[in-house]
Amino acid sequence: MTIAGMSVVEILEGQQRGEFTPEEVLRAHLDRIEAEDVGAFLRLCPKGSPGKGLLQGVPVALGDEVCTEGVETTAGSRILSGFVPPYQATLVGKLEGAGAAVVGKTNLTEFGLSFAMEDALFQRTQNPWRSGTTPGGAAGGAAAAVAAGQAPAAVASDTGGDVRIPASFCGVVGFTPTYGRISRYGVIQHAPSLTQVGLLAQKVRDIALLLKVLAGEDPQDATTLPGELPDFLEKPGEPGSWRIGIAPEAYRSCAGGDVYQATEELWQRAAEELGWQLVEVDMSWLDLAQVARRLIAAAESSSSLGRYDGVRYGYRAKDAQDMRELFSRTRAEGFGEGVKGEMLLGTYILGDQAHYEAYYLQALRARNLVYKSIKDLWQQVDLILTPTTPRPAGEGETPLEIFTGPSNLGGLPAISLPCRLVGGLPVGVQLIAPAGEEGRLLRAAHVLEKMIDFASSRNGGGQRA
Amino acid sequence: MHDFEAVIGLEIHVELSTASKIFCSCPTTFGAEVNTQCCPVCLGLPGSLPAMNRKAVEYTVKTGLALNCRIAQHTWFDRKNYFYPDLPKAYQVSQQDAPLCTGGCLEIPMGEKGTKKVGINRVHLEEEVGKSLHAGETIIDAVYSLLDYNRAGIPLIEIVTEPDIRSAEEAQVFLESLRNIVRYIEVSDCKMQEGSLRCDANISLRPKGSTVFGTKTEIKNLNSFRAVRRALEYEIKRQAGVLKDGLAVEAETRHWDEQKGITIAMRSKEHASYYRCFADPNLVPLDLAAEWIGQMEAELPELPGARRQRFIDGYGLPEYDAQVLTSSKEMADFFEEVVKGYNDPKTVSNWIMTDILRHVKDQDEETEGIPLAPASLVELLQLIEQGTINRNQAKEIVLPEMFEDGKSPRQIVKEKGLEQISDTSQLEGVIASVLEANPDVVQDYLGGREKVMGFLVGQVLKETKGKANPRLVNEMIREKLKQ
Repeated sequence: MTIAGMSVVEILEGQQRGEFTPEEVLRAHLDRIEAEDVGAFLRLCPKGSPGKGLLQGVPVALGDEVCTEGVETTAGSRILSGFVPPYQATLVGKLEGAGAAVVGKTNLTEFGLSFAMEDALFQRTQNPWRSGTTPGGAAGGAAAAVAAGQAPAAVASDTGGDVRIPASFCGVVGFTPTYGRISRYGVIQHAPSLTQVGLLAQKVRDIALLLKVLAGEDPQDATTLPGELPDFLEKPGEPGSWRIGIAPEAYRSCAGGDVYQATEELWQRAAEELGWQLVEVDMSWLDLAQVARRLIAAAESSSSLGRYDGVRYGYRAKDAQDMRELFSRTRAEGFGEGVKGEMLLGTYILGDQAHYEAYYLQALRARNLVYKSIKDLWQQVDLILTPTTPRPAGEGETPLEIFTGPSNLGGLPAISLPCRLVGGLPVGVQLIAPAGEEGRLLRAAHVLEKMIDFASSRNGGGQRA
Repeated sequence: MHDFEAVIGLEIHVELSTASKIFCSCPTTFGAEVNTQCCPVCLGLPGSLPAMNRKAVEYTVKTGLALNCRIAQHTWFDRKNYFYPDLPKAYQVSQQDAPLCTGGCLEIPMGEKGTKKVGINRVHLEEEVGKSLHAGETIIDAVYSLLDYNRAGIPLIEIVTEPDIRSAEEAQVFLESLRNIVRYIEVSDCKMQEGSLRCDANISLRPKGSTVFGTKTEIKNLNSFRAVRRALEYEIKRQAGVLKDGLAVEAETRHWDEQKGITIAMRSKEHASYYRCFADPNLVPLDLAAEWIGQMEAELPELPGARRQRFIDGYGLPEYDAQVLTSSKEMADFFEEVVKGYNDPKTVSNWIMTDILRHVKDQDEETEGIPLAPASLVELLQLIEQGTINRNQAKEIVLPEMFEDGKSPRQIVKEKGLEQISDTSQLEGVIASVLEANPDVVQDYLGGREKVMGFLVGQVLKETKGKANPRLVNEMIREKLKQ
């Protein structure tokens, strides 16, 4: 087996057995990046493994919204082109402290505002499963890099499915922890109340290891949770018999027939083979959650992206005659159309007292309602199982984030696993757990992953062509 | 003009004197080289996040408590969004909907009329913005503008009064009292010339006896207490003139022109900005335990009102003295230190209120305390009591020197050769020769004209170049002529 394409744990074990060195591991991945250009990386910054630790010699890709000291960081926007942060994200320090090798910065849609990777401004990223097909977004570069074996793991932010949607499209594992579990300091964000730092890898086991390294309180991020997390899968223990919440009605109306069928077959197998107990629950609030999330993201974006005015850093319009012209031309020239639209929407809904009450306040109320509805579900179930995306990569009406957005509204941990191939392209299945229950989530996902056995499954032929 | 009553409310911004900024560990020192006290957080660089400075919350709560406010147990911070080059994040973190402190009052002295309560609407915590310097009148017509972000992120409190103030003079007295309290509790140095205390005034007029508010204007650029008073005096006259002509006062923001002594219309309130405020998701809401608030209250020092009463009751000072001495913390502290070493409160008070204050520059505006060590005034008073120097020498010669070069009174007396001659053997010869040279005067004295004693003592003082102890000389001559 070639090194590029191995999981994090396989790389660590191979190094331990003396089969290859951290340098060889990095070289193998850089070679793969060169050999198979899927447009995943905006730029490479290989420095080699910084030392010993839990992730020694493991190459990690970072979404370009993660600030890297001395390395250009753009968040996928022209307005930040040329911006080289004089500081780094807390998570970068933690990765390097654990011996991981940051390999490069991956492509995303501008500020991660769109889930449609076609909207990315700097370059086209291909879905490694089928050239010319979208990998999904916003973290399309990160997911494509992991799927193509160009990095065994990646870190990127998730405000509504940015990590899980491309994980679903690219056939890899995408995970978002409880809100505040991983520090957001140094991660460029448009909607901080929704932003969870997410992880991508090939295996659930790898996610557990990365989470142990990255979790923890950060004095520079007031919203981080106290306490450290163990490696939940170091000793997985007995597979639990979980009560699993499903909402067939809602799924059928939101997801395509093939995707619904794949998900239904999966939960039926899980009931039979794993003894999971299925509980039908009400998720009629999916549409409400979708609209609320969209409005909140737009409102927060209109404020968070205000700082890009050309005065201190980043793109600056040339020959502006006065302050107003400098501001308006810098922003007119620096932002893409999609982001401008979002900021206009956000400005509109916060724009005066009447709009604030009619839209923003209503969205907060809806968020609260969804939050309470999910909270009530935990009386009946231990986990919720949904499709990750309404369809595999491709066109469609339903918003891509319909199933992934709710967990961001509630700050809940969620994970997407490759489920099967639909029309030759992967789709994922999502598990959602109560806040703080990453352990339960990862143990269940670990068991489910084994059952699916995506890589060699008969019904999918889960191997990239 | 006497047909109208002025209705005035003030908005005061006070920079807190915390060692570090509100969301990062950058220092807050005034006057540092431009753009040397900033970091990714206070520059609002992408991805940076705020971490609340606990001290800033403490100082705000203490200010609220000192102003008799209710302290919110649950509160949060909002983003106030607008574009300006000195605002690095394009929003200011402030408190729109949930100020830390509300509903307080401050009692201000009104001279013979006693005191008056001015309501405090709110005290909230926010972040300071950077400083711009325009090469031109305004940022729009400037050829270029320079920016200094050292100030950005210094914790700032905004104190908003109720419209309870009725004259320019009251506004000034209110500000003086407020500054005094804030300095007493040591949360800010309140230096108007350094911008750590700033004031905007809202003012309207209404017919006397009316309870409806008139249309108000807001006056900005008030950089001293004197400016506040002069601007309000001007604006009262201006609005009265407009109203008397049967015209309407425009709701607008006006700029105080110190040089010309007038207010100038800046912008209409019709186009008042809406700041699209919403709770900042990057800061967690604050939940203040009742016990913690109680602890803050317990940590408050004695406030000016209580101290004034104690000066009356404890030191037996007249009310006027107590009022003046407690009008600044530094002066009150100085007084108490001196009394510890020289236990005659009224004498100490007299010295401070007359001779010391005369030497303290700019006393009504920015009293920075008394540039003397309390121990040196104690020494001076003891030198007088011991008869080493007389009161006039102390006031005219020694005290000015003490202010000038900080030397101790004893040293000054020595260098200037001011010690009084209190040695009888030294004086006997001088007295004998004065009596001998003035036989007529001696005869007059012996004949019952005791007033001439002054002349004889004066002669002795003249002979000794003023160093003879006059009381001693008086006694010695009396004794001698008895014989």
